Amino acid sequence: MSQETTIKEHLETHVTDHDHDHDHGHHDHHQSFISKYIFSTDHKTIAKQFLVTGIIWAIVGGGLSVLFRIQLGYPDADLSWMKPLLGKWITPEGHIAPEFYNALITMHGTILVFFVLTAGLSGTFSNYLIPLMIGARDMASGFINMLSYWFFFLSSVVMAVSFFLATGPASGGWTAYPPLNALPAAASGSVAGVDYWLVSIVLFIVSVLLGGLNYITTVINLRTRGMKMFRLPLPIWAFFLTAVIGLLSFPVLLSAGVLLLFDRNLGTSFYLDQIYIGGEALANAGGSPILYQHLFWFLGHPEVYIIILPAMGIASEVLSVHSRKPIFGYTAMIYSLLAIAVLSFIVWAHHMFMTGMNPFIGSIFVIFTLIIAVPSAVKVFNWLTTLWRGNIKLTPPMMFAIGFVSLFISGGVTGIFLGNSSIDVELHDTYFVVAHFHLVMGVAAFFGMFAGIYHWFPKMFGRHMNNTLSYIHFWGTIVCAYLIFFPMHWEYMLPRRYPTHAGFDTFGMFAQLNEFITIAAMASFAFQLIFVFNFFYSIWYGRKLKEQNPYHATTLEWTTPIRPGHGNWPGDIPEVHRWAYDYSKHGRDFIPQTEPLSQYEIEHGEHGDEMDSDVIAHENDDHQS
Amino acid sequence: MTGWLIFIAVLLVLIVLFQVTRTLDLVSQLRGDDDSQLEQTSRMQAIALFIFMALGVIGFFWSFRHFAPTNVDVASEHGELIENMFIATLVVTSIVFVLCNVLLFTFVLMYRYKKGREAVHFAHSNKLEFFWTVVPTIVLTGLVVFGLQAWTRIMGPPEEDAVIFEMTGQQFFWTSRYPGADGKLGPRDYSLICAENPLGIVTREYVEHRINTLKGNAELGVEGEIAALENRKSELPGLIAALEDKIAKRPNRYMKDQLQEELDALEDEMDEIDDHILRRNQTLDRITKKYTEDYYMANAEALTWGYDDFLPSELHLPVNHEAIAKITAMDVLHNFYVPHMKVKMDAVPGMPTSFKFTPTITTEEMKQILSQNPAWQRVREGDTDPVWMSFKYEVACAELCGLGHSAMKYTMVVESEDEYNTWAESQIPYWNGIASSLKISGFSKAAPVLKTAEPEAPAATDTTATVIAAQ
Amino acid sequence: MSQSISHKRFIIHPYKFNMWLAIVAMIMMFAAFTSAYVVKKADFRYWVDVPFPQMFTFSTITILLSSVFMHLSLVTFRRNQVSLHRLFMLLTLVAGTSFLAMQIMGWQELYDNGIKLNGNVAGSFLYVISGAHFLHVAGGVIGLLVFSVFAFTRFRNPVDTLVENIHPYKQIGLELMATYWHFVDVLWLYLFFFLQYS
Repeated sequence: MSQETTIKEHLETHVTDHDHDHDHGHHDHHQSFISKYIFSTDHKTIAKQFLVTGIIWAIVGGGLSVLFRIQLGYPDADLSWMKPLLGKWITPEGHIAPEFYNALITMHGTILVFFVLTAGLSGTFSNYLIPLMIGARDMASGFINMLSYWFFFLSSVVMAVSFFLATGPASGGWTAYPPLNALPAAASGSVAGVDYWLVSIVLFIVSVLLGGLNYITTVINLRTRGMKMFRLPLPIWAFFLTAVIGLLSFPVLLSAGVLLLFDRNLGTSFYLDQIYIGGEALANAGGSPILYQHLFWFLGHPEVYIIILPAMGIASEVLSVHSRKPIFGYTAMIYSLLAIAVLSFIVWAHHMFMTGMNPFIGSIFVIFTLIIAVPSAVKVFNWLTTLWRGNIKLTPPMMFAIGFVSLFISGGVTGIFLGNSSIDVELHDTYFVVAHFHLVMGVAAFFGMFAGIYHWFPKMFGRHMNNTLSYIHFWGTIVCAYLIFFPMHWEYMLPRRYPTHAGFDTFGMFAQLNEFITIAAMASFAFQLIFVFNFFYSIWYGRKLKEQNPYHATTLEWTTPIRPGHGNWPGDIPEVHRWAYDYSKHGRDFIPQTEPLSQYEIEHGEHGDEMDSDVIAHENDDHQS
Repeated sequence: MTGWLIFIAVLLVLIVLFQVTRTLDLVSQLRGDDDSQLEQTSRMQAIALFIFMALGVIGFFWSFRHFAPTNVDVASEHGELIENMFIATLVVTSIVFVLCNVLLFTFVLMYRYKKGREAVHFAHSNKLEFFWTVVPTIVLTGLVVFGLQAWTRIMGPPEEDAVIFEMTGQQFFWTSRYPGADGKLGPRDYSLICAENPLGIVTREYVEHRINTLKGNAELGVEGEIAALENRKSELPGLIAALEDKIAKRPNRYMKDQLQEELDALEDEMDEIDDHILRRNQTLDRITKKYTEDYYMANAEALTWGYDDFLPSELHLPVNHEAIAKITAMDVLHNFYVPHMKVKMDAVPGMPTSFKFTPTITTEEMKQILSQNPAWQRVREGDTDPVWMSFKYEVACAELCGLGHSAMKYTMVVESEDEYNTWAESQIPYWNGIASSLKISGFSKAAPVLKTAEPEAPAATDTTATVIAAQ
Repeated sequence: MSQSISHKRFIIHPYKFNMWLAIVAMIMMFAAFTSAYVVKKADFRYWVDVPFPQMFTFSTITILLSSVFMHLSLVTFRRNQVSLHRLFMLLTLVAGTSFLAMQIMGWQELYDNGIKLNGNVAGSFLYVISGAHFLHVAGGVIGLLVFSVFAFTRFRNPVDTLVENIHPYKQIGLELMATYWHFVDVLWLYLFFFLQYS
């Protein structure tokens, strides 16, 4: 008993102490460049580090996709001019070598899934927004946060180095299925590339886990006074659940990767059985390649939600702020996020319907998979209703948020085909799958990310981005995204990961379409460069932000100074009295979270605030006017 | 030169564009009155978004017409099931897709920003939430129920008289095998794979043969693989030394590089040769341990199944008769994929899988169907006839398996039952074709009796018998 | 200045919460290993029962003891009993290190029994799972080393002792260490029974 009290006392002293430490930051005392920008423990700086690294990786990953799209669209093009750059990866005839093609798709997938849409998206916005939106001075542990970025950086370096291996980087697909990725004799990328890939992914997992620990702890423990869980802005809920999913699923990938490393280097047979390759029978016996797939997809499927949940959260916030309306069905949004998070762990085997698994087990996964469509549908309808009777400001972030919803619908509905195992017989590993996941978690997540960047750029850098360029970027991106991935559904019998389909009569009728898609892909890439330019130019030369709260938003990050220092708020942390979505309430455009409830005001959710008298009164106003 | 000019021109255009956008932004700043500007922008963007959506929806429906010829004609019984499921799902999802997108962009257009307009504080409605939780649930339940019915039928047990064949994926080709007259595929063992026995079929002779090819047999004049590797290992140091010597003396840089490459290759070989020897020894060890007299006694019957198996260069199947594909892989994952049959199943090393299907359209009938299809009128390079004329069902690999993934093509012919039977009877068992060239010693057992009826077979058996008798 | 946070009642200290979350992640990792083990074991075509090393029984006792020492060293630290704290800290360190040594001896025993890493999957799993746990303990031993050094360098005089004991950073560090150490102990206990009797 007494022990407990002592601990509490200690905690209190500790916290005061902790707070005191932070206060140093406000005096802007001299920090060296290294401690301020490189080994910084400030969550805002770390967020920017994640963002910039993510952008660099996105350019690389996107560039790779342009290369393999050229191969698909123009299989006869003479690419000898790339020889000085790519060397032996260009065949003497001037085409992309098949092995290089495989390396391109592998690296494109790995980079975009892990480095851009996990680290670049979740890493950036969780770090940036969690403390600012919940009213905390910083993350629970700035040091762990810093480690998280630097593990990511290390992982990036290892992956980057693997590009320059004599035998090339990993080339067995981003899922690294054994035995292709276990046997050096199976592919040149599997000679050394896969070892680098695995080491890089292990470092990446450490980074995600360190980051995730912090996000969860911060959200649970460091909310400011009055910030109940059900007052949190939706992005925070999304980041929180993302971190939980990551914490539970990434360690499993770690195990899978460790076992694969053993199989590759120490002669174990976890995934290998009765293999005859390169003219000889291997001694390995008793393993199962399918075991790896189970372990991999136990992470792999939650991973797609790790990618899309933050985008959903950001889009919810942006849609609400710019349509001047509360997000519709706040609690339903949270419960659907929760449902998605839980269900994401029990649907993994829908990636494996065609592995010869027990059909009965397959059926169970069909059921769970299609159940997950329900919370997703609920979210879509809630977003639509949020727009209904709003006053929609079509600023660049809003454009991207709307684009996100559209893409999520378009890519989401095709999931209903793929989740149904009998249709999956036809569609498994074809371009239909490529179209589905690129729309729903690739481009849609990018749109969520862009919405976030455009929305919070002024907060991050104290300057605005160029509006016209932003609109050009939006239109270029959404038009190209649809032109690339929509027609791809028609290639529903075309197998994936083929550098050329020329050998087959059945697949030969898509030459024109492939060329069209390639043109759209190249254009899309060019439009992203406009964004990159706009982003970096505006950091230094953008129009300066003059208002503290340019969007008239309710959330806490807009109560900080235009350029917040270490510790975020110069004085006390504001106290919160209401949820984050009091827009257009009681005839007021917005009511900040920091404003206490007025005497007659009912907090949201206390009783189902349907179209209450307040709303009806406004309706009458509308009719009159 | 022109390249550079174009590059500079593009760069200039971009700079001009950027200056224009910057000016636009500055002008809008100077004009002040953010609200009316935002109203204008929102109006423009909302209309543009709406037009984009309208074009998109039109494009969506147009694409059905335009791409219809690229559809694959379904040529199997369960394929129809899948097709029906696909169409049902397509109808449902198309409604959702069009409806949601239309609503989204219409709302954006209708409720775009206007100065003075007040948004409605409408935050929550249990009725609505209930409604759009329940409706998707009902629709999805329907799809799940029908989907699972189809799934159970597709994956259900095969019929008794199904035609059995086996597909083995390997980097980067397929090998097919039919069970022959006895209707049973001979057992396989990957340790027995060698040039003469590419699938590692187990019969007593093949075991003997594999031991000979590994160990060598002086009597038969067979140099064993292990001995060959040992020889190579002993001569490698000499070769390397000689090359090093050569490189040291050769002043010509180009030649030097070339020789260096050769040297690297030799050194790599030197590094790996022990592994190769070890693996051969392990293989030999596994074989000698497994194939004892006890084993032969216990499996006497199964060991005869392999004699009449045949390995054709193309699949033949009778129409309207169930076929069952036994699918295996030797090295990495592959996937047995027949687009027209809607057949797809992974080939996993060490774990045989299978897929049953009933072809419903013969190759000739399919040619007639495709002759009407505009997508099949194209002409291959160096050919004069349109592609449909030489149509054969194609088998592809649908699981990334390395650099030759896209080259794993195999063909399939679907024909009438009579034609199929004639074809099957004309096939020579693999054993017959190879038996004469096998060198087997110390083996007194009588020649295996073949159950095939074709005239060549006895002759081939005779040859085998002579070979064996000669020992 | 800092009322805004200090009036908050933490249910649990953030660092401790972090530690517990990290433990959850580690549990997931070992859950993956052990479920892979179960799946492979169900496929009995290849499974060979591996003679469980005797040494692992001794190492289990050792790590259990070390956990007790760890607990005592924390208690003595809180009670300000410097010399006892030093003693138990050292004892924990010694027990931890001997656990590592015993694990190595256990592997040696396995190897002598003809169980090779690249042999049957059953053996490989035994090596890999106990190896992964070994690394976690090794990390813990490094931590113990650091805290043992602290134990001897930090309490030079009564004033120091007082400061050290009251300073929450120091205390939370040792508490985290203890939590982690108990975790690797319980983890081993689970693995020990799992690998032997599952």
